[in-house]
Amino acid sequence: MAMAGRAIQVSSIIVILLGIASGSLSLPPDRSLHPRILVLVDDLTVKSSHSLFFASLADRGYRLEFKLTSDPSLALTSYGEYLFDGLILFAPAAEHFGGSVDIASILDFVDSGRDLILAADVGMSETLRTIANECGVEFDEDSNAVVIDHLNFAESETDTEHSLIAADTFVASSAILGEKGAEAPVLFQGIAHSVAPANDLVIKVLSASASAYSANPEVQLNGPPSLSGTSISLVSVLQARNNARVLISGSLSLFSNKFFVFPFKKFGSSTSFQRSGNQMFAEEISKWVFHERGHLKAVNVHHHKVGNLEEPSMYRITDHIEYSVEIYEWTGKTWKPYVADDVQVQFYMMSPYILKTLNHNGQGLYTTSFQVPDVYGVFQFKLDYNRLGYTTLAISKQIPVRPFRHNEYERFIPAAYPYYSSSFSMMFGFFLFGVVFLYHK
Amino acid sequence: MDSCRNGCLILALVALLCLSVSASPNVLSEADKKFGTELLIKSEGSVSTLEEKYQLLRSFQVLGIRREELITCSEVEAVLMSSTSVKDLFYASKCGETLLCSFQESALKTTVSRLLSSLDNTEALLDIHFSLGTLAFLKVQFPVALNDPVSIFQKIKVLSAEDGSWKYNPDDAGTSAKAAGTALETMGDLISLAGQAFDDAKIRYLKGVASKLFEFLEKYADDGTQFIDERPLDGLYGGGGPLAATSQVVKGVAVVASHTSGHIEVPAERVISVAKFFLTAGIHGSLLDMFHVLDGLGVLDKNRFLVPVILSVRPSVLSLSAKEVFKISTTTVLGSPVSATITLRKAVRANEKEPFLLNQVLESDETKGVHNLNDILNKLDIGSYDLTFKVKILEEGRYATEPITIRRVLVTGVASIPEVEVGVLDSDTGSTDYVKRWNPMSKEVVSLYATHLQKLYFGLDILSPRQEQFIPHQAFLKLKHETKVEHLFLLKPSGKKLELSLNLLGLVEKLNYLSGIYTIDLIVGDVAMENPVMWNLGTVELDLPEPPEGKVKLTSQAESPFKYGPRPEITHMFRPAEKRAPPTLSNTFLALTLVPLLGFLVGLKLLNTNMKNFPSSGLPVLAALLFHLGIGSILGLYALFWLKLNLFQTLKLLALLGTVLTVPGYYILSHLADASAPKVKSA
Repeated sequence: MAMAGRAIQVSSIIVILLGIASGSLSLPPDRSLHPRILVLVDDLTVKSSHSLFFASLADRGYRLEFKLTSDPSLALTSYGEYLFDGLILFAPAAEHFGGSVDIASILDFVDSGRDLILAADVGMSETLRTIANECGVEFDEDSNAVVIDHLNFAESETDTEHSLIAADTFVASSAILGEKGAEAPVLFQGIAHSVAPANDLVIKVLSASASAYSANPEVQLNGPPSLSGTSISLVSVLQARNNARVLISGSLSLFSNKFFVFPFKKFGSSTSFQRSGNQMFAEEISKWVFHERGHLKAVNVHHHKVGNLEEPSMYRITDHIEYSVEIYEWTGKTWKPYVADDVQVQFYMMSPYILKTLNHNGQGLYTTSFQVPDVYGVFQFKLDYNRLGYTTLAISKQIPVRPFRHNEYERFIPAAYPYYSSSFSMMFGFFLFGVVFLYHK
Repeated sequence: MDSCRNGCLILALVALLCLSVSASPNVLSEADKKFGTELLIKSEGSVSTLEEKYQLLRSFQVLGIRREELITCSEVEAVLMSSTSVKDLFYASKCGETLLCSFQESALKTTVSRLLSSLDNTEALLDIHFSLGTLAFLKVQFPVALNDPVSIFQKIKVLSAEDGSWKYNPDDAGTSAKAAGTALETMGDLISLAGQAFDDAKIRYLKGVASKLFEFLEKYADDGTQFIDERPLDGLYGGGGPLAATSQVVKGVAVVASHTSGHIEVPAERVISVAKFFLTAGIHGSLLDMFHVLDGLGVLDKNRFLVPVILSVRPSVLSLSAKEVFKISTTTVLGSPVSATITLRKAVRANEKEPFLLNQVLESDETKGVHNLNDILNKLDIGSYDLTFKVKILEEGRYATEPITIRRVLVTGVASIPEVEVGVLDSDTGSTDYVKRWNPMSKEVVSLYATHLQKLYFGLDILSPRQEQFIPHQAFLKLKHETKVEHLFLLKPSGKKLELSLNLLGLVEKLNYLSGIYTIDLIVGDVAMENPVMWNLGTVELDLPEPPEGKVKLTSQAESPFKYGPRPEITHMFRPAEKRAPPTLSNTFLALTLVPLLGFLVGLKLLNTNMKNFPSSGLPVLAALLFHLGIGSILGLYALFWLKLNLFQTLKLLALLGTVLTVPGYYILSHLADASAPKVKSA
């Protein structure tokens, strides 16, 4: 019995030691290694015509489940538990969903921190518009309008509307689009949407050019189009405050096999592209949406006085202190150290007293040291890390700062020596006087 | 779910249709084939089963590509010799057929006998189909004799239903057209194995079934596309959707036609509608779907019952400036030319009613099946046209075609804009205050100045290559303020011109009372214009009135520069140290403060102080010493208070010392008082 107990102890120590030795690898995955994705289509041919996109997801370990929007057994939750980690809505015309799925349940799904890919197309249903609207994206109200660009279209034998847009205005973010970015323009055929400029959470990933406009190609215009130029967003992403990610594309064909391997020549340009940038774009952005990139977490936030590793409950003004935090990025399989030169910490009370960029060791550990200001009160260590395409880190740790105690002040001030000496000479004189007064005869 | 599948399929394929120019699809172009090939090559990596390998091989075969690395004849032979699954044997033999393999009878003797005995023991349609299919392939290599072909025929026939559909198994609940297609294919194989055993009645029966099958077609879209839908039963036997069902039916009919002489009655328009269905679906899906489309098209391209012929116009977008000509061809679905005479019945400009060309017989190049449409070219201006063709195929009977085909074509060309008139008018009188003719060649920018009491005027002519007025779809004027606020206006046709007149007084509200410099951009574009333009015409400085009380003037919408990205560092400014006296000064005063003590000591010396009053013995000495030690320690306590103790510690100690001090203090003081008292009294 005793032996067994000992064996358990030893093994647990080994486990702990192993944990320490393997460092970052010992971080729990937190996120599912094989996320389940529900793909809702309004026709099963989408499964076939977009098979390359789905295959790339399946290759990356996603478990895809295809369902028709009308399937009466549709459900996102079962006994309060979510059945899926992500939802792909490739059903632009879906008016209603079967089973227990409706607009509210899809929005709840996003509110629970799960991810959504929504692709629209000409003839988009009111239901999908509502979902998009809730995500901060407004599609052109004219249901027959498509994005037209007479200056930036892909030359194609079949496109007689100049609605096959070769878009190359990408958001400048390697987190969203990958290190390489898009090497060729992305083909887009679909409808335009706009995002409110005041909305910080929605990012235009792929924008139209200045000459684009949204209109029905069959009808002569009567007034200026409601959406035009660079304000047209073709593909947008939303990162909610709970880090749920939503991708909204105005084109379903953008993800299709046909557009993935489409050789084309952009109008007015001499270079012809062997294939469009769609496959790369779709794969990279799906990596972002499903948190394979740009998902950060901060752990082990510590602070202490220089030379003392204990974390105190309070600092004194003008103390020299050190602050450290570890930041990791999720790769879909493991947490890898996050390396950036722009992580900053604030020492904050009502406003930042100190704002300092942290140094890092390349292994995810960020440190800095500074002197506590000579102002006392309740301060916070605040780390607000908000970068385009990355999850927002907002860590704050409260710490009070006290003034000097009375005996912590300077004791021997040269300028005050006359005062010291006068007091002590006075005391000495008094003592002497007492003796003399009493015993002199 | 299944009820939706139709409806939903239609929805999705309508979306697909939007991609193509006209409703009726073109034949597979070289680009389509290249594209399909690429997709097939991509899917090679994930292919594992024999069935998938056959699907790939067959798809490549239809596309005219030989890829032998997938599976070799020896591998096929190994499967044929060893496998016990009829399905594997069937797909192995299909692979062998595609690869044109040849085998020795001796090696496959056991396989043949096993297949023959399995035929006697099974009643399932698919098992019979697989067995007969394998045997039919092997029969090409060496003689194979069936034991009792008529009983097999009966076994298949017993699965049929009244309406011409079929069951897969005797105990199946429903029937399907796809199963009928499979049954026909199996019967075809049976005839090829033992044709002599069947009398005319049986052959007639088969042909009847074959022509009946096309009655199962369902309407798919308004353009006459038709397909055969999958039934719930098919889902239990492999499924594959409407593409698989349609392809299987076509294949069944074709196999029967190839093994029987004479004609099978099939309505031409139905065959064409099926061809259209496959062409509309296209080859850009998964391997399975592409296989069914290509297999279906392959059968339609070469068969003995009816080959659909499709008219195609290339290019569908014709450039006038590149001096292109229309080439009209009549080909089978995969692009083999078929001779025909073609008449252009009429040519109508889109959105117009009156045709400008009627009944024109096209000159043809017999060898390639290509017809030229040259006469029309000098009558065309830029825009869309609907061309209606009448097709008559020279070799009737074998081919089927739509008698009338309408194709929409787009003619593009260079439109010219000689100049853009830019002016500032007076609002009230309409008189011109300033006008400038902006020249597109020199692109010299204008800079205007206008107040809210004036109007801005823009006008331009756009001429088509035939020097006629042309109204583009996109004719925008964009005013862009320095703060990046944009306003878009539409130029509208007025007389022969495109004009825009901006009454600034009415626009102040829209412009948010934002005075300043606006850049003027002109954007003109159209599908038919080969030279869309986006010109910067110059700038206009608007002097607008101040907004009325209560109106907030919109200012720049510029983003905070630190929204993303690091912020500038902040360091704390510590309070500067208090100003202090220099050490020399304080040292001087240090010395000065010691002067009184020194004076006191000197004074004591001068007074010749003594200690004669100090008690000489006993208790008083002890009391005196304790008293002064006490006072000394209180003074010492004060020093400690300064150095380290706090007030509370000091007071506590002081209380203790003070109390202790009172005893010797009282004693010595009263002793001293007693000692001096008599003298006072005596004095």
